[in-house]
Amino acid sequence: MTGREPVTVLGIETSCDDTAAAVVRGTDIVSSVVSSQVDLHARYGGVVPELAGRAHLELLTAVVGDALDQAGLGRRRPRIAAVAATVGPGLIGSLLVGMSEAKALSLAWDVPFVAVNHLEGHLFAALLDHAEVRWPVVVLLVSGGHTMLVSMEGPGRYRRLGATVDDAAGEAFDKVARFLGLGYPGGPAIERVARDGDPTAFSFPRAMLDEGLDLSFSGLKTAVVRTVERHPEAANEDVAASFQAAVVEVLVAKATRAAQSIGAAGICLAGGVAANGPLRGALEEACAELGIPAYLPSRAMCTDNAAMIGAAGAWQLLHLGPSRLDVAADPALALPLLAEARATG
Amino acid sequence: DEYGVLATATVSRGRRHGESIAPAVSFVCERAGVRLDDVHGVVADVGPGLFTGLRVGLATAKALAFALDVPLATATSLEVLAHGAAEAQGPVGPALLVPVVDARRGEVFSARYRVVDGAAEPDGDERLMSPEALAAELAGQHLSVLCMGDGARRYRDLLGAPHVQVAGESFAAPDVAVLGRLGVARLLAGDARPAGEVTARYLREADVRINWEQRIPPRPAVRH
Ligand SMILES: [Zn+2]
Repeated sequence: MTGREPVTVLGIETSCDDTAAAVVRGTDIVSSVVSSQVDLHARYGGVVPELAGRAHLELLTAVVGDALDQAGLGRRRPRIAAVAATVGPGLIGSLLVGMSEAKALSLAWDVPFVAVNHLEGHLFAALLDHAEVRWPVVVLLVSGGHTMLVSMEGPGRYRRLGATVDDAAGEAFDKVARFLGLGYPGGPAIERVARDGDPTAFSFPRAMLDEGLDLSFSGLKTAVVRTVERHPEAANEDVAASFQAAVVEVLVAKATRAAQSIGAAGICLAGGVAANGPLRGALEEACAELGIPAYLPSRAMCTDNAAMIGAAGAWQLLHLGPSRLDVAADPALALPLLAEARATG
Repeated sequence: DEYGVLATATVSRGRRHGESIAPAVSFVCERAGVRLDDVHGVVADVGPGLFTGLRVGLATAKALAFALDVPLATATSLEVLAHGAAEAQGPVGPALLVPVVDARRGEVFSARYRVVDGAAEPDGDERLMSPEALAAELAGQHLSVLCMGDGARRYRDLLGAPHVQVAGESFAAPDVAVLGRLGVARLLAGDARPAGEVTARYLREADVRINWEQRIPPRPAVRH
């Protein structure tokens, strides 16, 4: 990405329910450890913030130790250039654990601390799997917390094209899965059940399909609930398949329109929902029609991980410099966009 | 004296612990003329207290101990309050020290310490309870009692009695110098653990509301 010498960075990610640490050299992943808390939250059908905070505190030191071990680095003065951690957006009680750990490690090892935006981390995730990307690309970032379309002209150069006006796509998956009694997390559960269902069994709304680049999913969730109330005999398989088809169609249509509107050289998927098989397949088809590449990150790079935070942190260290130790965690931190002055922390 | 406090820093900025703690660590090292590399141990207050702030301190302490490869000693917030009061009162003070930490939601964290040769010795478990229940317990005491901590300040009208005194504002928060002295004693006694094994003392179950503003009741079970 730059002509400069790649730097080695320890990345830490605790913004939601994954406790993660990774060692990254430029955009090469040296080690990446993710301790998922899925089992802890599954019985509640969603992430319980206080349980997540408690688990991060219990797990993080060991996860950092594993990431260093797997990278062949000692814990006393490891040869790293900086410690990078997610400082937002996310659950405040979870963010604070990772950020506090990272600041303390940077003090103890006398290396800079880099405060990373979680959304920017997701944008870097695709780069970790695809070394040669032609700019600009449209990134469709879809997760449990976010659904947005970004024009990425290169690392650090983002323009917002559209976003959900209500629920995130992943949130819709979680809520519908919970309603259908399919378990948590909702994305994989719905995808699994939908394989045996008819995606045309029910015609669920495709909100805002023909207007602009913003998206809406709360009406879809409500429509699913109403349909099942009206058709109590409806099979979960058919409901799940029809729901998934509606989400995928809207996401791909919006990403396609976004790519055409800026003349994008490719479309890139990011975020947990990017692991969804039908979405990946439909996006590849759409890109083939447009004659541009689809950059699909590996499944490990879709879900939250610390390698993407380390990669974003390494770039940030070289181009914007380190962050101050009194940086605050911000649960509502926005993606830094072009045409906005960007603070160096 | 071979051991003593070189520097302390206390930052009162509401609940902005995440912004204050790392600069504070840096500041005390500079003031004390100590490099973190030369530190032989870390001591942390594991609570009970407000969960989020507690985790900021513990995550910092665990990371420091881990990265410096030194042992991590711990003390509870109630111990620190009681030991601080015992240090200040001397041998002629009250017989029973009762730290009371405000747990919010109309409850307090509390414990009892007997003063033995001027030092605080635990007398029973640390508990989460209502201030009314604590007041009733203390009212039935025949020993002289000193309550301290932010919970004692908040409920001083309820707790106070002819034999029950409530310490002033200067004893409302655990003193980091007292924590440091307790920590040195524990580290010297080998009473410390690897960083990864240390966790917070919450004394209250997690609130298990999920992170959605509204919930949808699940559909009734369907037979196919
Ligand atoms: Zn994420």
